Amino acid sequence: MKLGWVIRLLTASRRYKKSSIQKRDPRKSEPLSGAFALDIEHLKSIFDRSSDIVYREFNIGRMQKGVLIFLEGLVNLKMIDEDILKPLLEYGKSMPQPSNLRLKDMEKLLQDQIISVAQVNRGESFQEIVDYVLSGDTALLIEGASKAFFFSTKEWEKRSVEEPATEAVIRGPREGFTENLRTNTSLIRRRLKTPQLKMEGLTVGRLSKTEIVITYLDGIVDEAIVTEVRERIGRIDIDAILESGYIEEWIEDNPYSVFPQVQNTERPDKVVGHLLEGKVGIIIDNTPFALIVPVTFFDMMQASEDYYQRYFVSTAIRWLRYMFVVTALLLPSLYIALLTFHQEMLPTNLLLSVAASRETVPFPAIVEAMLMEVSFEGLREAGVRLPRPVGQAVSIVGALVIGQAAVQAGLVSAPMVIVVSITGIASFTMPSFSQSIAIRLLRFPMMVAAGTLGIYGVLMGTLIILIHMTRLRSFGVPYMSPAAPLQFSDLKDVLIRMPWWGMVERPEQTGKKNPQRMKNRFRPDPPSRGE
Amino acid sequence: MRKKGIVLLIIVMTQILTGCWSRVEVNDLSIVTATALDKIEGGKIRLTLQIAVPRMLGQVGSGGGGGGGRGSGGEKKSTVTVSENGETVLDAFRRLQEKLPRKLFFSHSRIIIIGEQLARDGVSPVLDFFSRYREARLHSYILFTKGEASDILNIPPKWEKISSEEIREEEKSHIGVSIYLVDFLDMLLTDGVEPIAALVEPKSTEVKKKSDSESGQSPPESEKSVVIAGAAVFRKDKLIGWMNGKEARGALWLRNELKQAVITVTIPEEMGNGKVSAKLLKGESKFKPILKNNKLIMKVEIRAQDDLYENSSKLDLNKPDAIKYVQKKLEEDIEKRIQIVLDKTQKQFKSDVFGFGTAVYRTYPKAWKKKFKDRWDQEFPELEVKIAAHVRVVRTGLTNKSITLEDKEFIK
Amino acid sequence: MLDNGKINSRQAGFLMFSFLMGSAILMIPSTVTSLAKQDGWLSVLIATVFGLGIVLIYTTLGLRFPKQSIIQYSEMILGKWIGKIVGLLYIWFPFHLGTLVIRNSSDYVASTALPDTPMIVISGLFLAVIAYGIRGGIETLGRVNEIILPFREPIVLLIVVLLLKDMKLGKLAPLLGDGVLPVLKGSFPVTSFPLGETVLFTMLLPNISNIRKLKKAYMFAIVLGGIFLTLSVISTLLVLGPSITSRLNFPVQSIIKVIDIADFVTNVDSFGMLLWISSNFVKIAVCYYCTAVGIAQWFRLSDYRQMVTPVGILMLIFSMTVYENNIEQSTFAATIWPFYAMPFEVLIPLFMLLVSIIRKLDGRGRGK
Repeated sequence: MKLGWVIRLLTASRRYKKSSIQKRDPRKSEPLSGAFALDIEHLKSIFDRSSDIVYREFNIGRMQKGVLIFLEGLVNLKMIDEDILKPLLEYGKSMPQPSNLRLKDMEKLLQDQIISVAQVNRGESFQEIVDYVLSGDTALLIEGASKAFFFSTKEWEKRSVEEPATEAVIRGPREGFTENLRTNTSLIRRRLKTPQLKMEGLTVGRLSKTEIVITYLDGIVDEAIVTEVRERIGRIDIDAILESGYIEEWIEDNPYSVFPQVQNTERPDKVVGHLLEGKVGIIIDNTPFALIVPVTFFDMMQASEDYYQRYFVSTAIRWLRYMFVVTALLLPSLYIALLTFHQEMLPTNLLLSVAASRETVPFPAIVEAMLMEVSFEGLREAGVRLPRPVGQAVSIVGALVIGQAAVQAGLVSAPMVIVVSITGIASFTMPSFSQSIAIRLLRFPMMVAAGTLGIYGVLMGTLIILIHMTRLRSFGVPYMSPAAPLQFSDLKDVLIRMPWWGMVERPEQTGKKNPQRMKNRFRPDPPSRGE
Repeated sequence: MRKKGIVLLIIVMTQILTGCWSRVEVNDLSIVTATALDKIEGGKIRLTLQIAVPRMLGQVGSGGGGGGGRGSGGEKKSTVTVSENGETVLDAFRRLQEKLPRKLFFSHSRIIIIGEQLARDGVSPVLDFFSRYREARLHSYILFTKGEASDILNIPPKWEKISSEEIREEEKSHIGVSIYLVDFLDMLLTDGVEPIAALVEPKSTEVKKKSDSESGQSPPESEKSVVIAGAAVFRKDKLIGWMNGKEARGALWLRNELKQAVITVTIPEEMGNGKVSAKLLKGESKFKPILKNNKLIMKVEIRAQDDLYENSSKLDLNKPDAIKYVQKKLEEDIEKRIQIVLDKTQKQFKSDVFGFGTAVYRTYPKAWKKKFKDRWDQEFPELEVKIAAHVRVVRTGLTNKSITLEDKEFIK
Repeated sequence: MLDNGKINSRQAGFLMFSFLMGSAILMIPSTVTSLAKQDGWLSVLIATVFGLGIVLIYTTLGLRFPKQSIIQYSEMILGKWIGKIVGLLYIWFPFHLGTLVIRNSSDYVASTALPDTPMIVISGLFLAVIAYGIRGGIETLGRVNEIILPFREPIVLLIVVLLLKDMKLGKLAPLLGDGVLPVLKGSFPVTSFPLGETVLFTMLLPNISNIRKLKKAYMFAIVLGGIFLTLSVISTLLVLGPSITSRLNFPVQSIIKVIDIADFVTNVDSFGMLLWISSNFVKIAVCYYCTAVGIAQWFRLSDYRQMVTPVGILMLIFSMTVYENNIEQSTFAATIWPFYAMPFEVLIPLFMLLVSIIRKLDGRGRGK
């Protein structure tokens, strides 16, 4: 595709030699020498110019020197004080004669008698020390030992579990993921109390060493998808992962598509819901947005709340969303097409009043629509970026004042303002932001098509989008399934939201392995009156 | 390869962006709301168009809501009437376009009015344009007028913003003959039926006061409005005569197109002396041609359901017998009405606007082809038609006995 | 195999149904009423029965060689040289049909919606879009059709319902007023256009996943297509009457124009165009696909995708030059096409079927 070609052209010029990136600090891979002062010196040179590294030196007993190394801010200081330092010092005092601890005793003693920390690890290279310290563990080096001990003392500032900001619900759990990986995994664990729930850990990013957890339900998920996810994440070679968006772009099936092929969510209940359908969740440290694969277009149209509200309501709301997706994509272009090509289709009275309102407008309809749509997008973007109180003021000024003034000045026709506003509202009905922004983006080429070829152009544009969407796949699952390829039984969760007692089977594409969700179709009945 | 396709697409799109072939902005359109056609001396066609002026039509917030067309001065008319002569409709159309700054746009013209002269000379030549031209609607009403058609378009509207809207609303109510262009063409093309269409005339909305008629003053033009006054009767595509309102309604009965009607019958002295008016609920006519011994008889059956809404006689409508009597009276009245129009068409116009011929074809296709098809013109005036009306009174309104009369006054 | 995509029988049937709706539904009412007047709808029904026969012939033939397309097994049945020639014919046929339909579509779009737009833009854009779809293989076509179809056909039915108040039953009488002959005459062009054209669907056989249900799916598509075609003829007749229907170029478009909902939704014929162009999309796409795949098979290429662009450009050029005006086209479609298409649709498949039965050739046993 054209886009790919351009991207390759742009990236070619700054393609670095692989070695220059991968060059490692040779000092780090060396093993500990065992010479205490030398090792400390070495470590300090690795961590030079790092003010947050703390070296706490002390003596065990009288002569033997030890040092605790940790990163301030990533550790629980109280724990170091009470569970590591204090026992060590006290042990030293209680030692009968001024003798040094020998290495083999040391291991046993430290682990079994002295240190009261849950997790203790050992290591022999500087590399390990660096890794452990940087991830919030405390390293202990003792004179005379060529081994380092690591105590899990991780604790850092983190946000508490809050209501997800991007996916609000009226009914449903108010918990959202946080930036902390373990909090997030616990939120999922709490919902699925089964050993079948697997949480595979991976580390990605040469510098960031970001922890990633692939989670799925063993026995339900299609093994092939898990393998594929594992492989694709394993292929990632990047310096740092700051957000799940990085991962998303690395593991997509078609990198040249506006449509998101990976779903992101802040809601643990949504992840669990998808796990139960045989999908795979990817949780990434330092971001509250987890990823779900594979995903279809229709998955993105479903909010988690659909499954909590009554099914009649949910079905109706789904249809409303489908209507509004079409509106968001096509309304401005259809308006342009009708107004500049097919005026005969407007009712006479409507045409006359539209014509009357357009008398003073200096722009052609297509330009007018473009202007309005672009300024709407600008307003929306400004509303997101600006601090909340200011954002509100901007949207009020933008929407009310400017809109009103533009209409009164005759720069923009009132019907156009209505069309743009409806389109804007329609685009916000989609539960998935990445989806809605894709649709909003596609609106512009559609408008151009409508402005040049009328309804025929709109049709051609729609066909291109449809063809593109049917060609897309997300981890092998056709993007438009279950509509195309048609799977009648799965329409139960697309055309309608089947009541829970009717959703006997998991979706065909991902839940083939273990299709039965419940034993049998059971429908609640009132107690029979005869007995 | 896929890249090439996309590149091609982009090239095509940029090509498209630079040109804008069929694109017309709304404010570059002259929206035609009605069309009138006349024949002038020398056989040329005069095309008159009524064009809406959006500026003058209810723009939100412009105050006044576009009451401009009320005809009193003309300083603020909601429509403009323009006309031009030409050899053909398209020719006149082009000449007219030359005079106008905006592109003429036909799609919203849903009225075609044709003047008498053109109609008498044959309408086929002009109607072809309306079936061929993309913007024209086959479902526009076709109307005829005595005199010049362009005059009709100049009559200012009273209720709507545009006078053609008024005419259309009137046609839609189906009180008079209402024929679409497509129906007209169908009648023209189908064997065994001749076209009929509505006749419009400017008429005063108020009944003339005595003083006016004595002084010989006719009401000023602005007081008049366009009224469907009857029907135009054709043989092939040539106008051959007019029906007045009453006759036209008789024709509607026969053509099974009557939607609204009020029938008033006089109750004679011995039965209560007065008038009874009934409103039609449902009327239906059926042609039953009977071919016997080479002689064709057309049986016309009419079934109607009525509501009685007015009774000034001393008839006690609470009695089933009285209802039966009224029904019989109504039947007689309908038959009489129909007979009048039948006589006129058979004897005077000699044009089968009711489609008797089609009915014969549908029942006796072979006989029609052999015997009647080619000489239906001669057969039709001689055709024996038997009318049988069946009326059923369904309800008598909100009262049974007349509320204005005392019990003893009723005729038992 | 050239295209690894698989569709199931249902998708193939849906494709065939859309294929039948494309181009034909707009022209057939005019064609049959000019021959059979108010009995035109009977002609379509009879043609449907003929169509079933044709389907039976080519599916029976095709199912004897389920892993191959007609271009491949023609060589087996008729020998190398005659087989190659027959193969060439079956490349030409979809190509020619495709150009006719694309020309027809652009003519229609130009004359109803975009009068001032150059034809090359209309056809070129359409072909480019279709080429994009074809690159996705038959799988993409099947799926796109599967999405469009459930929207399009209910709208078609809705149009019929909205027109009910404008219909006059009398316009269908008398039944068989002129005897049976005109009806049979009318059914002839319908049989070859569009019902017989479905012979192209033998090309899809190697891509069908559940081939056992195929015959049923194809038959069902023909019957359903026949019903919809009949419906279109009946509604045009009831609304416009036989005399006007036979005189219009696109009668269906005219009846859509008649729709009037509360004076608000009127003149919606441009939306009608959407319905029709979307089914034309399938028809042209199938022709285009068959041509591209056919050429690739004929030359034993490994990938048909390299043929997509050249075939598209050729189709565009051909469609621009094939007729002077739309009258030439409708004359061709009504008079020459039925005779021209018959060998492709009936005679050659029938002959090949007979030869393969006599020579006891059967591709079912072997295959990869």
